[in-house]
Amino acid sequence: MTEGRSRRLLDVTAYTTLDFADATVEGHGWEDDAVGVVDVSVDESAAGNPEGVTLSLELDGTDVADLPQHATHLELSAGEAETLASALTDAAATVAEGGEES
Amino acid sequence: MPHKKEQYKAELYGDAVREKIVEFAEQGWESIPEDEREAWFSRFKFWGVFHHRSGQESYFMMRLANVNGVLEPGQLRAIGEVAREYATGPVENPEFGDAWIDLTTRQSIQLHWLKLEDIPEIWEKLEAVGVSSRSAGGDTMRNVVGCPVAGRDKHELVPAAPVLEEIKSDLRADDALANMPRKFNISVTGCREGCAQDKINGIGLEPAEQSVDGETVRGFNVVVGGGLGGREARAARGLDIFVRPDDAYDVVRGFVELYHEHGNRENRQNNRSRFFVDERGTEEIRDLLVDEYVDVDLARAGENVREDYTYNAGRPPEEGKADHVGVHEQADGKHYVGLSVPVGRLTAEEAIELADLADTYGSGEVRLTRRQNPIIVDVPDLELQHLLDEPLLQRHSPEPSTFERGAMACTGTEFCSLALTETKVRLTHMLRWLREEVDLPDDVEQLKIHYSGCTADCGQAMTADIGLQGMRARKGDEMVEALDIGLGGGIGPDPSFVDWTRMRVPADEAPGAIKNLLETFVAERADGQQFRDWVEATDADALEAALEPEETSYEDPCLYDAKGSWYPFADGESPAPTAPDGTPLTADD
Repeated sequence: MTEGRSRRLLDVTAYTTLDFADATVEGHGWEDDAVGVVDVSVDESAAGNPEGVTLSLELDGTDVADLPQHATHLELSAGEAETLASALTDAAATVAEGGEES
Repeated sequence: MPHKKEQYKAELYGDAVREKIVEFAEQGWESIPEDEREAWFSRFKFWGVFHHRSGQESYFMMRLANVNGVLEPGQLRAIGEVAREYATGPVENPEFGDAWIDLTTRQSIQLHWLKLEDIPEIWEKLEAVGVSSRSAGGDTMRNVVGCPVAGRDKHELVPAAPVLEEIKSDLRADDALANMPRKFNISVTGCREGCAQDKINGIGLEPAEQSVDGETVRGFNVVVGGGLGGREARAARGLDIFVRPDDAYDVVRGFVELYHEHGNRENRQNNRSRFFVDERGTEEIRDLLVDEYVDVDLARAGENVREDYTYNAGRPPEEGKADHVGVHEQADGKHYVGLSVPVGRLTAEEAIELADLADTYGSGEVRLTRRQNPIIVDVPDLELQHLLDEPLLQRHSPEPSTFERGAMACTGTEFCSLALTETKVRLTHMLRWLREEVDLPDDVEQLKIHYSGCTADCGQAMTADIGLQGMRARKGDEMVEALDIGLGGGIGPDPSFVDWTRMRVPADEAPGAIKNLLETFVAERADGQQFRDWVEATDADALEAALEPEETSYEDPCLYDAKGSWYPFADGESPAPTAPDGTPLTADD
């Protein structure tokens, strides 16, 4: 039980990319199911210039007893974001095609 | 490259926006080019005109401005009459019907379902009695808050009304300061109870005493950089400045000018005044303020009365007022009567009735609190019982149940584009159910339940005994509206923010969870112990166990909506956008 373990770090509003995503979190010798929030945003420099894409993930603090509350921010270049988007699109297409059998 | 909102503002902002609103209103909704809507709607906010969320195109909300919640005689009646005539939507709310007003947490009023074409006429009717919507939204100095009974309060330490008036007439009216880096909140109070919540404002003046040349002087200490919002809520920090009442306006103006000039206009992610104060630090800001922006002698911070603050402080009833509900004696021997309007929504007819009662039994003046409640002031002894016998005071009682007394809710998905859940109707249902199902001891008069539809926290869930924030959850195979439930927030001497004890509780199981928690509280509390003290003294695991979600006889009004529909209580297609008479406009171009 950690102090403030459950104060969200990410804003969660109707503009959040995914306000509910199933997740598992794994460590050596332990694993927990969790629900998380995923958000994509444009990263701005201090001067307000768009610099890159941030992909943020935060698991609900009440779900994961072994970790302090935290969010992970992947800082992606535009190219990396496109690579990721393309991989996600392909994977989603695969799932959609196989959806009837699954 | 400046942020696009800075570009919008650089092109046109402040008083000049009004002419464009009038022009668009004359030419109709469709005269706003589709690709310019975002820019115009952003600018309209300066004039308190907010476009509703998607699915409700062509409908607007208007927020009205005042100072510390004072509505002069005649003003509430005009607002009620405008609501009755214009605030009527294409669909009724299942709880409140059609035509109503919302009282806000910043002592203001919001009207919904307005048509753009009616805005000039609405302004004409409101401005005829001195009500304005200018500077009620956008990147500007918002409604200035203060103790709603300033000038009437028997125990006021420092008169705040003159400072508030000067801020209203000189500072907020100054078009040169209309375009701030972000929205900016000001609070000035001289009361001993902390009801203006100065520590969650951009700048707050709090009453204090200081020894100046061997003489004890009353005035204000200055705090800056406070604010709520789920992400990094902050209590305002002291600038170590004491100011006499006569100089108070200059200091507020000085800090506004300082933030106007030095605040970041490029990165909106971190430019609210609370981040500005984080970045610069109070010492640097103090030095800058004293050196360049204020031309009066300032003393170091005096002795404040924060330790005695009772507003939303979680203290037992005998220690003082935690809100303005009830009958209270004024300095002049008359009384003010605080009504309880759960979730802050009054029908237009009720608003007009309230204005009539204020005329009949008081001076006609009505004041609004930071808890979405109205106050009738200046009621003489002889009239008091007659007022208390009036039907409106049976509905919105000055002696409400503990649950209704402590409730506040933001707008929610009914109109707001940020929210994840409906709020006002749900909380109304929950309060009704809790009142019937949970017995609280007589000495527990205060239990603040605040509900925000998302982490922006306009409903101030962060500073509630039981804070509710809208989320989504899976229940069975379906996604449902859900609540994060947090415990242990409050204001008092300093704000404390809730810890979220349970997350994503399906909305239909939330009242059961609260009932289970409160039953544990009642069973376990020490004699006279208040809820906030009990939460503080109880282990987090035990609180989580007590807050056990449970399906009960409570029926949720819109469990499955989850921001999916154009209106949480309507089936079928939205009629929007519509013509002024409500006829759907067909998009045939």
